[in-house]
Amino acid sequence: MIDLLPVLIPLPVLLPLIGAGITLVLSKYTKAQNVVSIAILLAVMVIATVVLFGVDAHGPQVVAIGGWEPPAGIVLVADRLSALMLIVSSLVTLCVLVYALSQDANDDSNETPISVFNPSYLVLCAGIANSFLAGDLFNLYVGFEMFLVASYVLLTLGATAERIRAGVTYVIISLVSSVIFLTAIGIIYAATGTVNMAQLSERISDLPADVQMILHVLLLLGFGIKAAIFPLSFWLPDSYPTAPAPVTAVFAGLLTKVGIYAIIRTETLLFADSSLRVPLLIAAGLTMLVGILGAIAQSEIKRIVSFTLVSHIGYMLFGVALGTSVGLSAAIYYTLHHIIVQTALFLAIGLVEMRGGSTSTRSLGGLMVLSPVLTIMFFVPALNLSGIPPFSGFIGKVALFLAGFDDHAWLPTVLIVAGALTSLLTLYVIGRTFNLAFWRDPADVEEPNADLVDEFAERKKTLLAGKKWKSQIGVPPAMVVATSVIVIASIVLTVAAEPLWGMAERAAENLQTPLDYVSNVLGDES
Amino acid sequence: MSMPFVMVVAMGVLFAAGIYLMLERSLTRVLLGFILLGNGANLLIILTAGRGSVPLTDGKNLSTEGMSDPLPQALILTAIVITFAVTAFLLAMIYRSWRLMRADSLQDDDADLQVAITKVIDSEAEASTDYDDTEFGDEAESPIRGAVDLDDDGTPDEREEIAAEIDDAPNPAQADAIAEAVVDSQTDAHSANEAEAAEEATDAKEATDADVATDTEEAKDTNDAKGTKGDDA
Repeated sequence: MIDLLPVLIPLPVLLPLIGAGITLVLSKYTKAQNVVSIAILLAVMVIATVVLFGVDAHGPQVVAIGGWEPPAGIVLVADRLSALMLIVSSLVTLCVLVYALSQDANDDSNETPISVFNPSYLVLCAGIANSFLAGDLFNLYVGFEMFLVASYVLLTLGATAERIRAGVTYVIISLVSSVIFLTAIGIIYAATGTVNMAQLSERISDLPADVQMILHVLLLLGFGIKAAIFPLSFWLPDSYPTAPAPVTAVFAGLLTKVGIYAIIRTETLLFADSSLRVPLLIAAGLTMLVGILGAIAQSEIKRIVSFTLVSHIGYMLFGVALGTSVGLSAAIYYTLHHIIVQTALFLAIGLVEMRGGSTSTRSLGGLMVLSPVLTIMFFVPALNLSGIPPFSGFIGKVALFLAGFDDHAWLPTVLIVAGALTSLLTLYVIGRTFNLAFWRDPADVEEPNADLVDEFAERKKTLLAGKKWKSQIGVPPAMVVATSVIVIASIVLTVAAEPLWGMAERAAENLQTPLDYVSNVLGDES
Repeated sequence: MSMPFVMVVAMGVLFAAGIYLMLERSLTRVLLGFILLGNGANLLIILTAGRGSVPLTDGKNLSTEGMSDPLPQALILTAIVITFAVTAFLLAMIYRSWRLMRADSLQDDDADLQVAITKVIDSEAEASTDYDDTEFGDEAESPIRGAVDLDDDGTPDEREEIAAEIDDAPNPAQADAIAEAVVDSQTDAHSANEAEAAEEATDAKEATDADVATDTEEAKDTNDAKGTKGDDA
C-alpha cells in the first residue's frame, strides 16, 4: 500500500478539478452533472480515508509534482494533520453537495443557476485540498486563491442585490488578505531565497529577529483575515448569512478553518521559536468575547450563528498560541469538532428557513411542535457548540483548559476564564434562540407568519381532540438525510473521542518536531 | 542581491497609492486601488530576483553563473494571472451593483442597521413599562395608566379627547370656544393654584423688565393684564 500512497495524494486536488471541467461541459444536463460531482467527492472521501491510515502507519508522505525534486519543484506533503483535515473536509463537502443539489431540485425560485454551482463547488473543494496538502508557501497561496475565487462565485450566486452587496465586502476583504499574503511571500523569498516550507523552516531561524518579526506579522495578518480573528473578523457576520444555506454552511465550516490550518502550519514549522505568543493569546481572548457579545445582539439565527463562529475561532487560536503539545492536540481536535458542528448548524438553519419561511427569531415560532425532527437536528449541534457534556465541544474545551493550566502563567488562566464565560454566553444565546424560534406559540411573535400560526392552531386542535397528527417535515428527504449524516458525525466525534484524540496527539507530535518534516521533504540533503 | 532604486521607489508608490484608493467608499476607486496594490506586490516579487541579466542562456554555456533567478518569474506569472482574473470578476460585480442599485459605493448592511434601531426601540419600551414612575406623573413621555395628574390639565386620555374635539370643530370660532371652555373648567377647579402661579410669574417678569429696562409700556400692560386675569379668576 505504501507504493500506492504517492499516487493517491495528488488526487484530492486533481479529481475535483477534472470534475469541474466535466461538469462545465455538461452544463445542460443537470442530472449528469450531479452524478459526476457526487461520484468525485465520494472518491475523494475514500482516498482521504486511505491516505489518513497510510500516513498514520507509515509517516508523512511527500510527492514531488511532475518529478521535479524539492526544493526547486513543488511538493505536496501529507502528514497526519493534513490527512485529518482532508477527511473531515471531504465528508463535509460531500454532505453539503447532496443537500445543495436536492435543495436546487426542489427550489422553484430560480435564484441559483445549477450549471454554475457544480463546477465552482468542485473548484472550491480542490482549492481546500490543495491548501491542506501544500508543502510550499506559494502553492498554499495558489490553493487559497483557488477556493477564494470559487467562493466569490458561490457567495454571489444569482447576483441579487443583497448578495452583491455582501459579496463586494467579502471579495474586497479577501483580496486585501491575498495581497498581504503575496507580499509576505515576496519578502520571504527576498530574505531566504526559497518558498519551500521545509527549507524555510531551516533558514528563517537564521534571519535577524526584526526581519523574522515582519514576516511573522505579515503572514499572521493574511491568515488572520481569512480565519476571522478579532479585530480582523468584522467582515464575516456581514457577508456569510446572505449566501444560499449550503454555501454558508461549507464556508462557515471550512474556509475559516483553512486559515486556522495555515496558522498552525506556519506557527509550528516556520516560526517554531515564536515570539508572538502573548499578542496571539490576547487576540484569542478578544475573539471569543467580542464574537459572542455580537451574537447576543442579533435576532436573525443565521447572523447569531455567524457571530458564534467568530467567537469559537478564539478557542482554536488559544490552543495554537499555547504552542505546547497538549495545546496543539486540543486545537486540532477542536478544529475538527468545529468544522462539523458549524456545518450541521447552518444546514439545520437552512431547513428551518425552508420550513418556517424565515430565519428571524422575530417571525419564527412553534417549530418544536410542528417539526420535531428539525428541532433535534438544530438542538444537538447547538448544545454541542456550547460545550454541554458529553458532546465533543465539551471534550475540546476541557482539553484546551487543561493545556492552559499546564502553562502555569497568568495570561492562559485569564483566557481559561474568558473561554468558560464564552461557553456560558454561547449557551445563553443558543437557549434564547431555541426559546424564541422553537418553543414559542407562533401567534405570540413580533411579526407573525400566517402559515405557521394556522398550522400551529390546527395542530393544537387535533391534539386537544385526541386525534393523531401526521407530522410533516416539509423539506425534501435528501436534505434531511444530508443534515442527519453531519449531525451523526458530530456525535461520532464524542463516541470515537479516544482514537480521534490519539490521532490529534500524534499529529501534534509531528508538528512539534519540524526537523522530521524537513528531513522528510528534503530527503538526504539535510 | 542588488535592486534598482527606481523600481523600489515605484513599488512603494504603487503600494501607497493602492492602499489610499482602497480606503475609498467608491467601488471603482477600490478596484483601481486593488490593481495598483496587486501590481505593487508583483513588482516586489520580480525585484527579489535582483538585477536582470540577458540572455538567460545561449544553449551552449549551461553554467548558472550570472543567470537571473527564474523562480520569481514563475511566481509572478501565476500571481499576474490571478490578479487579472480577480480584477475581471470584481469589475463584473461592480457593474452588477451599478445595474441593481444605481450606486457605485459600498452599501450599508440593512440587517446591521436594523439591529441598531431595534435596540433603541427596545430600551425605550422597557423603560416605559418597567421603570416609568410617578416623578413626571401623566406628563411622562409614555405615562402609565392612572398616573397622578400633576398640573391639572386632565389625564392623557382626556387631553387627547379635547385635542380631537378641537380638530373636529367645523370652524375656528367653535374650536376657540371649546378650548376656552376647557381652560375655564380647569381654572375653576383649581383657581387657587392657578392664581398663585400667575402672580409669581408676573413678579418674575416685572423684575426682569426693571433690570433690562428696555421693555415698552405695551409689554408691561400685557403683564399687568395677565396678572389681572389671574386675580379675577
